[in-house]
Amino acid sequence: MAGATGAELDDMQGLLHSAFRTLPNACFAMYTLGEAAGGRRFLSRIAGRVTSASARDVPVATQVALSATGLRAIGLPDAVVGGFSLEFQAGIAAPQRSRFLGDNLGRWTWGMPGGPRVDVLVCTYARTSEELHAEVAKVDAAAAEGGGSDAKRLETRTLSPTEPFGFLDGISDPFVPELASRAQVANPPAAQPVPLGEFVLGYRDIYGLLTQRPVLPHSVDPANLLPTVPPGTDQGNPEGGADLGRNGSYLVLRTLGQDTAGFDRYVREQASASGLDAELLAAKMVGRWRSGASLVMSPDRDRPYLADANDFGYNVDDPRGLRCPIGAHVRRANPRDSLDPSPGSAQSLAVTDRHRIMRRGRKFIDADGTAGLHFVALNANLGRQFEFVQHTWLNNPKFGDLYDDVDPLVGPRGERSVFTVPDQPLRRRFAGLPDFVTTLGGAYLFLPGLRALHYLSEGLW
Amino acid sequence: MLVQSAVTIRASVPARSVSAVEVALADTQHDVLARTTPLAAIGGLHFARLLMVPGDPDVESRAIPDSIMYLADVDESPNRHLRALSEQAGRVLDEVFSYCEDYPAAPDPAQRYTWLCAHEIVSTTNYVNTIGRGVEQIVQEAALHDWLEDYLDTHRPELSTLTPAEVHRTVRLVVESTPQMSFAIHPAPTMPVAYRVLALLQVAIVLAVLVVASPVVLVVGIPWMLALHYLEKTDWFWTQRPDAASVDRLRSQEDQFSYNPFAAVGVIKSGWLRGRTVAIVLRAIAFSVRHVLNKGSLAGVTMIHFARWVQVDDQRRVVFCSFYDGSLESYMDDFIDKLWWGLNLVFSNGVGYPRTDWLLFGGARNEQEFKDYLRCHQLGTAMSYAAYPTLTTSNIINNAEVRAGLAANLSDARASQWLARL
Repeated sequence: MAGATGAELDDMQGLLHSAFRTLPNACFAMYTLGEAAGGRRFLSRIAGRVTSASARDVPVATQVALSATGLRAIGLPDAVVGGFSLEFQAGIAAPQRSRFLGDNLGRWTWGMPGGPRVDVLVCTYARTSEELHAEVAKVDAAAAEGGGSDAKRLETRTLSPTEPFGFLDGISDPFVPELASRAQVANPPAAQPVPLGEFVLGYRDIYGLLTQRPVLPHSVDPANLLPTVPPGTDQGNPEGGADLGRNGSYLVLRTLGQDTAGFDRYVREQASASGLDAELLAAKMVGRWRSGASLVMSPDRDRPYLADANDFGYNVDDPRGLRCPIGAHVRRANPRDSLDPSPGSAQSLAVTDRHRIMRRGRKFIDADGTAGLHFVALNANLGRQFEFVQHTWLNNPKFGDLYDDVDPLVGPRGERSVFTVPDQPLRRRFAGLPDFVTTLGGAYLFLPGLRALHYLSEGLW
Repeated sequence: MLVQSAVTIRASVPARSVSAVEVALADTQHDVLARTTPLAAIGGLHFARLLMVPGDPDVESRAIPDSIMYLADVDESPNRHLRALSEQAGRVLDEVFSYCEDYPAAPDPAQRYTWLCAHEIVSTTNYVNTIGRGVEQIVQEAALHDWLEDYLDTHRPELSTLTPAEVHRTVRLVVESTPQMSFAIHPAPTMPVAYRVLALLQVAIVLAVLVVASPVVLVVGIPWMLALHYLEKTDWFWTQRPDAASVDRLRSQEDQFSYNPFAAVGVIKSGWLRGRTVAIVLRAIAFSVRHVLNKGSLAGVTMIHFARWVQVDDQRRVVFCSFYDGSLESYMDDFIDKLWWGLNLVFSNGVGYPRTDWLLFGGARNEQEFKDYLRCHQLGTAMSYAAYPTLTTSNIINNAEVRAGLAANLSDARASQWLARL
């Protein structure tokens, strides 16, 4: 089963390998499960439809993930659920976590306490909307037959690679050789590869260790459905066992509403008041021009041919943020070489690499004109990766030795919040930033390996 | 001259009163959040905290009772701070410590002071981000920074046509003529030459003693390390995961300000060798943080304001407390990435710490085991007070640099660098 690299792509769900960009129509359907046996029947009906990471050029793709409540709903014992990370077990909408992530649950339309419980997420991707709806109908039928009910449905259509504010998105995903496309492997990016274990459970992570995950006694896997951890191979599970986590990943789903009109208006008004060009101010906030070209590479105007030029450092090329402000969105989301220890060094890059996420989101525009992003991130350690990026980099007013700066696009605003644009001789400060992005829903889910999904649907524990 | 000192008070409390103490502690924290705490009036106080340290029914077959600890980082001598506390924060002391059996029934400041002195513990290993930088200076320089930012915002149109050196000169003139900011024209006080000479002398003496005694150090050190290594290999290790409810309780006290309080308690492994190792390591750390790592960085970790290790209960346990910037996750990551060896030196002598190799290696590098260990041994800090709760260590250092650059005559290039700090 193991390939040349040891990565079991045929046991991983396809989202780990690609965002299914050739399938523009997508539906993220969430269900609340009924009684345990019915829930498992639902899983077993759809398990066979799941697209693996080794499949190529499929017309329709299906991915399945479960929340902690979903795992409990299918009857998985508490002791097993307890083997997952605490963040996952408590869920994204736990009170302390919302405060930490800067979420206002009062604005949520799904996933909040008191709303329909999100137990199972089925992501369906298709070439045409007919194919999509045919596939989703089959999933719906399986859910209903198993006693499940609709919790929330997110439909998306991607016809252009830009996000709703109009900027090219998805440029700097971490480079993981085992998961890369043939084209990427042939022409690898300049960035250091990030170990597979940072995104897929059961493999060596950036510390050379196996990330925490549920490894069960063989006695609860009598049919030997799960991969085996031999004794003495995993420091966290010295006795070995049956690996429920292997080839799985933690999936973060968040609906981010984007006020595109408000963003354009603010940029226009502030530009005329400050004498900056409106496009330049918008680019300063994002850190890239609309084409995707980085301000570090192209500080004065958009140069679309530089959209793919991604080989730069912030500290090395722009230590004071005169090109790309320290607080710009993309500089926060991936600070590259700009943080301690010794900014500009390989050591600094290595520390940043401990906090990477794989993004698989899709933008949406609803009938009422609401636009935004169904943000999807994959990672193996929610606390060190997704939550760290959200709290310590994006939302932190003290990021990069700043004082009261927020991420001008997504950060939660406070009374003193500003956005600082370094310049010579004097910086500009922009205050009174409206909320351009509001989180409207979210969930932490487990995207199991295919054998693990089979195991969960069998219920032989 | 000013050298910060660390004040530690510890008093045991009967088990039946623990829940009442917790209510009282929550009350004192409420005062901090409502900005009505009397601690705010005490001069020279950087940080203070009150916490419950649970006892242990059986460490080497002797029971340790529950206790309350008060820890403060101050600009004056511990005695002066305790006196100020007795006089100005009697309400806080009475509310919390009245549950201790020997606390005076109707205390006056003198009785409180006597009681505090009787319960003071001397902590020998105290880290200070920057020795000699007092509260008054930090608060003044923060006001200067904010004032300058506002000035630049309102005068940007006329200033932006000037050269950097001209902007700097203009700003300096304005500061000079603004009474509440004119302090900044004079450089901040530095440690007197005598202090620095004395400190250097101490370093020289210790180095000289080490060199002279190196044969002895080797003769003792090698078998010592071999014996420790044997213990590392044979000690019983087990993985302990924190339970969700207690982590949730701890998290509810975290991330309220830009700094966080951290506290943990650990039992030192039994036996003479472990006890002596801890004592020696703590002394070595005390020496290096006083004389070497005293300028804004604890071996690469820059986000710590104050930290201390206190040996308690007849050297059977160690309490570690710190005030740091950012989230616990980022603090732990900093430990794992930059200061793993330093943590291993101390904590590997504690029960339950991930297995180390030769005292320095392994240990904290086992990311998940280390994070679980810290969460399992962490104590909630029921009350924490900071004189400057919105300033990070990097803000404080930047503010000091802004003031330092103000007084000088700067070239265009230097003035441009100075302006980049604003």
